[in-house]
Amino acid sequence: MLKKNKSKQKDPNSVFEALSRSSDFINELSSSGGFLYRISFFRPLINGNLLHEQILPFIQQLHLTPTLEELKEHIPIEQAVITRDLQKVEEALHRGSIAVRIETDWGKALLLPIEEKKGRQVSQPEIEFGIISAQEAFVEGLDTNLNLLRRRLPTPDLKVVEHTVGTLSQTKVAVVYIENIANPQNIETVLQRIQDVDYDQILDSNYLAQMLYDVSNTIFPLFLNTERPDRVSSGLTEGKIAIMVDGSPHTLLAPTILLEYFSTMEDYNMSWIAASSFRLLRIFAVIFSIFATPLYVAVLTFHYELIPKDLLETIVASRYLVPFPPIIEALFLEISIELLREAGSRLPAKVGQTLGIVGGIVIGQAAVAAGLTSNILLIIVALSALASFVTPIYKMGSAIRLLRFPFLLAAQVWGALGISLMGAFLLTHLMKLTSIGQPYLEPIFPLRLADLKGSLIRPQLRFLKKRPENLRPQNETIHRQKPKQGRKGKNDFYE
Amino acid sequence: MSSSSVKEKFQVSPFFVFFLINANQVGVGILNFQTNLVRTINNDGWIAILIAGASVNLMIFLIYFLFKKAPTDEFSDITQSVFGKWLGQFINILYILYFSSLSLIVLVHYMDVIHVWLFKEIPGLLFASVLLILVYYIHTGGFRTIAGWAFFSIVLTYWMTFICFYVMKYSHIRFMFPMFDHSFSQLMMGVKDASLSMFGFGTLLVYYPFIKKAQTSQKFAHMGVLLTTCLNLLVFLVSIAYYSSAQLELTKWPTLTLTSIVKLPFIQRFEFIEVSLWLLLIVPNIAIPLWAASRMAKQVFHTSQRTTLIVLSLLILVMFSFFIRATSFETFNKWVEYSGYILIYGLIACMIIGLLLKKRWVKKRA
Repeated sequence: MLKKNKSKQKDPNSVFEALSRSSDFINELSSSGGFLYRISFFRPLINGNLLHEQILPFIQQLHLTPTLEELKEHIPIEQAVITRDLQKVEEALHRGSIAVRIETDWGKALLLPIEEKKGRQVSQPEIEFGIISAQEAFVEGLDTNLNLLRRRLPTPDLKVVEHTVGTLSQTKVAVVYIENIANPQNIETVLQRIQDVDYDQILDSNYLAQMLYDVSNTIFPLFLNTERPDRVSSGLTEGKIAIMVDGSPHTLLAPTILLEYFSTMEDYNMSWIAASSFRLLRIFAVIFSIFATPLYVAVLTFHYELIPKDLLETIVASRYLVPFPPIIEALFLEISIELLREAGSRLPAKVGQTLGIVGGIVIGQAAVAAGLTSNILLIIVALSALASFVTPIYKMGSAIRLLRFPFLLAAQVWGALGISLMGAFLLTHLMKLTSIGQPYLEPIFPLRLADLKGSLIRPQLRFLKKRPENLRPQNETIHRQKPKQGRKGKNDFYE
Repeated sequence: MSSSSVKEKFQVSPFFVFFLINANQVGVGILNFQTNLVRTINNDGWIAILIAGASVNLMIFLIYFLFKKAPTDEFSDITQSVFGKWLGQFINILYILYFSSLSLIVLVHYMDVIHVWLFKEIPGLLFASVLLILVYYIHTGGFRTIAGWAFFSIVLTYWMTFICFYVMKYSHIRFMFPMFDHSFSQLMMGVKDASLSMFGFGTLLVYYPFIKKAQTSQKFAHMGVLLTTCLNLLVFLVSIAYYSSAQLELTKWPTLTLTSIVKLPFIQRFEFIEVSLWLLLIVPNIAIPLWAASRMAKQVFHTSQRTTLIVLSLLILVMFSFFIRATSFETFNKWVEYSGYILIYGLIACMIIGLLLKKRWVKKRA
């Protein structure tokens, strides 16, 4: 252990003196072999083993009048720096370095980075779970995340630009892109926006994302946040830019388009027919989720003539006991489903399951039995709640669930016309959205037929010849596979 | 004419002209143009539609020709260079009023349709205000959003043409005869009626500088008109086969009445959905002319487009409150139709002649 110097002498250096006011800062004055030296560090930030095994023994070996340069040569720790720059010293101390100084010159310090990193191990993705895709997800540490990414893209073109954002939190933000593919203008926009962020604390990548968005008044996510390294690496190879924030397991991808939020990584691991069907199913589910309950309200409030007689009988039979107008009924059920979801996401997993059963089955059944809602609406609301969860990106799911409420109100006011009108507002809003300058509705508007096939369905891999145009990539062609050996000519039916 | 006066990032691709022209032509007109046409020339209306389509194509050609010869691609500057400063500004104001009244007419017509088919009790002024707020919101996105609307209105509503094929099984081919039994002058009256439902392409004059490589977009404009002509032709032929001509003359909105026959396993009264979804077709029909009017007003009065748009929207609202449920609207409608002939057909031809004469005169003097 370090020799405790009880009679603390005043440090000649004001910076160290100031830091000593924090009780987890160690500023030790010791002597060895006839010379005095000081070791200063933040106790929680450094790796004690390294200090004891690699650094202190070397200092003990020195005698008479050693120099810091000599020390630097002896100690087997890379990235050691000798500096007089006090600000640099202070920063390094906060990042987990120790500073060694010798009595000959207290102003000069040898900085040895022996940071102790503590954090979660790489584990399974929990938000974007995939059944037949890689089972690893990002964690909080930036270096671990970069490691996961670089292992997937071992190319010299993969560039990382680091910035420090947040006046208090000094959060490390890494902008990652592939140099010959990503559009330089997009990179510049992202870097510029990160530099322009002036905020005291950056807690998470999604927190930062809101400051980087093109517009802030929108419920749609403009940057795709993902916890899957495979998704990020496929995004990078397409020409996207990834933004990673230290302390956040979510990586942001930009620019993005609306349709992208309905694709999963699994799509690319399945047969293209199955994958395309599932993707279309997801898009249909989202449309259903937004419009089902509003249409119920609109039809039952204003346009019951729309429904054929036989079907109308069923509906009337199911709600003739209900004393409320359809809008109250719908709002009651929608809000209780939202309550279930919100409570479920706050509760511990085991309690959450129980709550799901109590809430979903008991409350639903009881509400119908008590005559508060109709059976049919219960089915519609439950289905549309289920459908809103099919998007792999959670933020998009919550946007879709929120969207239902303005549509519900519009349906109550002007029926189907109201839904149309609200749809027109939504469409206008979507048309105006951009993600770092690229239109959000691409490839539908502006129409890019070549991209449309890749985003609406998941075509055969050999049809994906070009990178998506909305990213304005530098290098458009994806290398095509060679024709398979032994494949016969087109008109040959194997004789 | 070398480069456009509008920055490239605000421009749209040439093929959007196809959607812009088509979206602007297909609106409320297609719901009831058959009635007037049948009243004038009965079953020979399809000839009139074809001739009207050809005349619109000619006008498109002339408009592109005008811009090719003109020194600038801003229409309000061209009028001034042809007619001189004061007269030119006066004509610009006429165009502003004309475009605004196009929006107004669409608004009143659609309100009428809603009152009759969907909701009797909906407060017209409130609905018009909400629609104009939507239009304002669209305009804040610039011309690109408007072009996007033209595109989406077509993509999202053209599936409804299935109605035409659905009702074919209830139609009788003998209703379509006799054919070719009208004189030339009757035919010309028919052409006048048929071309009414194809108006709206005139806004091309204003959004021309917003098209990338505008001269290359001419073929898309012609295609847009062709699509409108085909659509009108289809709707007309289906209507005269479905209705007897006496019935058709008395029906106010034949296309909607025609829809009422559609019955799907889970939907009856399909026209409810049609009228509601028609909103998506109506929006560009209000937004594009209003945008054209406000942009011209911006140049004429040297203010921001925001100001001119708000002023014109308020003007439309005031006029709207006068016209809703008033017979004077029909007179107004007639007036606007005639001024359309003068401003679009007549004045463009005059301007081309004026422009060519001026060029020759300048050349001679030099």
